[in-house]
Amino acid sequence: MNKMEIIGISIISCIIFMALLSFGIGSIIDFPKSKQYSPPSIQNPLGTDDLGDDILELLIIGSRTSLLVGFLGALFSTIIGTIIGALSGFFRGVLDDVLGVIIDVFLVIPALPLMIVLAAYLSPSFWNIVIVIGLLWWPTTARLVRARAWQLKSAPFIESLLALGASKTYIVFKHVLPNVLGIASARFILSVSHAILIEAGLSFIGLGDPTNPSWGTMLHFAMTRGALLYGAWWTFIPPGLAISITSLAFIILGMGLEQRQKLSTRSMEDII
Amino acid sequence: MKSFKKSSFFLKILRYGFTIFIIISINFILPRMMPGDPLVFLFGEEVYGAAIRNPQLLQSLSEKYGLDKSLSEQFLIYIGNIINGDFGQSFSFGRSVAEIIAERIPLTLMLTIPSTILSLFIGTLLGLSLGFNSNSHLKRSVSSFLIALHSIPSYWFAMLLLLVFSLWLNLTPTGGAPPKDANIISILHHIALPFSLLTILNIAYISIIIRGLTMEIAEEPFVMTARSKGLSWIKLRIRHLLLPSLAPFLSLAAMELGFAFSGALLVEIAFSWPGIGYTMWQAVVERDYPLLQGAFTAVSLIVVLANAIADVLSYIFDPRIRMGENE
Amino acid sequence: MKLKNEPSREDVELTAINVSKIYGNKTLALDRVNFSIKKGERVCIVGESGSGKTTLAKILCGMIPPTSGEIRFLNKRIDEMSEMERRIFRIKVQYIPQLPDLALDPTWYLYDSLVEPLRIHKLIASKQEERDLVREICEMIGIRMEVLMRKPGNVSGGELQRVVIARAILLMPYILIADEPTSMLDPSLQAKIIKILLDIQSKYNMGMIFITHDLELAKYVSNRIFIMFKGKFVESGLTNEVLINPHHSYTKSLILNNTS
Ligand SMILES: Nc1ncnc2c1ncn2[C@@H]1O[C@H](COP(=O)(O)OP(=O)(O)O)[C@@H](O)[C@H]1O
Ligand SMILES: [Mg+2]
Repeated sequence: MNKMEIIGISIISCIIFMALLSFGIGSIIDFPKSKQYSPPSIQNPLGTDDLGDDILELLIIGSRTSLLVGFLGALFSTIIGTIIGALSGFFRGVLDDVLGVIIDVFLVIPALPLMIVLAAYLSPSFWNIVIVIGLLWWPTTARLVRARAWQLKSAPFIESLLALGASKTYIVFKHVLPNVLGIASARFILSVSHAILIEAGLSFIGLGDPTNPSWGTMLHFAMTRGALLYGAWWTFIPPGLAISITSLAFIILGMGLEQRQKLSTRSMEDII
Repeated sequence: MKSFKKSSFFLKILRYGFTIFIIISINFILPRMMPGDPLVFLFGEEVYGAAIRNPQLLQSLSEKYGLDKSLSEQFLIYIGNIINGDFGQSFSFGRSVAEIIAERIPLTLMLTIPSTILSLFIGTLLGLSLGFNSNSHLKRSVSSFLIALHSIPSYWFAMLLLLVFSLWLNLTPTGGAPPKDANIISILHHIALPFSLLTILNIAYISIIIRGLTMEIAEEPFVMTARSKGLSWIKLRIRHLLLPSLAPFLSLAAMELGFAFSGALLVEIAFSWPGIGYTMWQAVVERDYPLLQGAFTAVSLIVVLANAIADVLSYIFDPRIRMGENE
Repeated sequence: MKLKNEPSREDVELTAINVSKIYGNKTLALDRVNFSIKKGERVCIVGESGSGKTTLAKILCGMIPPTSGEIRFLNKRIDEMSEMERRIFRIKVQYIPQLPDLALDPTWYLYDSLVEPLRIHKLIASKQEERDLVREICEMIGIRMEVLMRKPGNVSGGELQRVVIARAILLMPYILIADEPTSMLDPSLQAKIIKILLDIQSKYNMGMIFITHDLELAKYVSNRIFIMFKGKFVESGLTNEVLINPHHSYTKSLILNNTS
């Protein structure tokens, strides 16, 4: 393990621990309320919000949704991107043309606005956000996997399998997919970081799941219910910090994994 | 060879046309695909509620959008409307969507275009300098810092800036656009925070990409030779890096504009800057679907257009593409 | 040791007639080449790098199609074969690629890669039979069984090359094409690998094509030799005769360079 991987994994472990803690806290509804907008104190280490809810508890509960949506959204988008990329990179002809055009088109359409539109049509729920991210965050992954699959096509072991008469479907699933797994897993880790940011953004806009508040939801309420104008900095500094640190931890881990993949420095541009 | 190069260029442009078609199709399909009556999405709960109680109204609304016709006919009507600049009626504003968008696009452009130009300039220089001798301690820390900036939600950053500069220091307004008849001082006063934030984020984005490009080229022999001949770094970078990579640079600029637009959406919301992003937010809050789609279409069209222009420019400027032409 | 569906015949011949290959509309890699090999023969193709040796090998084993000309196996054009005939061709003509490092899937265990051709063609009835066959071949080629439990990244070049050879041998080919089988190995290993190949050739009476740019090696392994230059055979014949009494100036310069 290199240094980046260790740093990334340590931070992520802490956040996962926090998310596990949330199961002990239960739901916000039955919280004993405190005074509203009370600054950090002994009873409320991070203060309270406009409803008198404890920020620390909200933060812990929020970690669960942020992390899970990030993880699942990234998982779906990586699976979709990997399959589309591998198929399009390996097959010539119509399939590659069609998938290639689809990849290009979705690379150009700005993803966040489209996600906002789609999320606004779907009722706001945990799974709908996961689906929105999964459906719309795959093009970069597909492009990278496709380039790798393209390289693989002329690798001697693939050529010899073709000469042996192995079917292309067999080769794609048994050889191409395992070989793009390295890239796909590095991409997955980076996508978790992106998905956490996207979930936060959608929740900030008010498209989050109201029954599963996340860190983004906290920022949404801080913004719409006037915590900012009230100067209650403790209501929005912790969730924003949590989003940034978590997202950064996954970026660091992803970069560590990518170094291991010995990818060129160029792939830095795909981190973002 | 020649015809191939040329046709691949036109294919690319054709692809942008297709992208626009897909965007319009998504807009068309979404309200019709969702469970429930598409009229809700087209006119809002209120009008819909009134319409169900008033069959005549329902009838006339359905007819206007051709909802009683087949899907393909509806699609043709839809495209016809769009070509005529009719994006429907915003039910929360009670005005035409096209009108609202036309009013607000300039505010977004006012923010994004100067910011993009400035950050392309600074970001490129920063990226070039970070990419050379990229192993120095300072440069690595700066690069790490720039990468770290990407994981900070822009709207949260905006809230922090508002807290410090508006609430604590009382230097800037807490958001909103300058009034219509504002003088230059007032405009600068209002735009200062969103502009600075957007520019910082764009610089971080661009410089990291340019750094990557530079690190790749910096290893190439001709750059090594030029350096050993003692060309000053700024000349070297411009002559050997910037000029040959004009085409990737242009497509970067286009991508950057797309990025700036997406980024500006959330920044606008946090600063209540009434551009397209803020409009999207208002539309989401009111579940004003026609307005939301209109804003989405506007953003996408601008991004697609920027990409297309960049492709045309690199086709004109890039020596490699032109050489390919003459082969 | 005998595989299912094996046609047992002695009249095996692989022929290239007037074969040309043009890559991407401009590189003429092969120019009207004629070639043939029978079961039991050892043939060498010698030529400098870029002369088209690998291209010919790939065309001979059906890996890439020729631009013009035809390849015949068992007196049948390979592009006009029925599925059954094609299957036999694919099993009975084997190619050992030039670069051993990507010759096997880097994510697969060597054992699985080794038996993969058998599984693809369903040539083996049971796991037990498969294991016995692998053991027998590995013993013959000198592969330790524990090597097979690793992936290509964790074995040496020599071991990898042996596995690649074993993979081809497992199919009991009539014709085996070895494309510079030793160019990536150090000299002491080279001799061992060559010896293994020659042993196999005589044991199973295969037709074997050696591709090399080393005339010494060619002299040592082959009965017949083809000299390739810029996509053409400039000279061919019995190895001894060609090397002792070369006609073409390119062959002469090759011999000169080799002895100096
Ligand atoms: N896939 C390919 N695409 C284009 N050109 C190729 C390809 N493979 C080989 N060539 C070209 O064909 C010629 C013969 O190559 P090759 O058969 O590999 O030669 P050798 O094996 O004798 O070194 C070379 O000029 C090479 O550059
Ligand atoms: Mg070769």
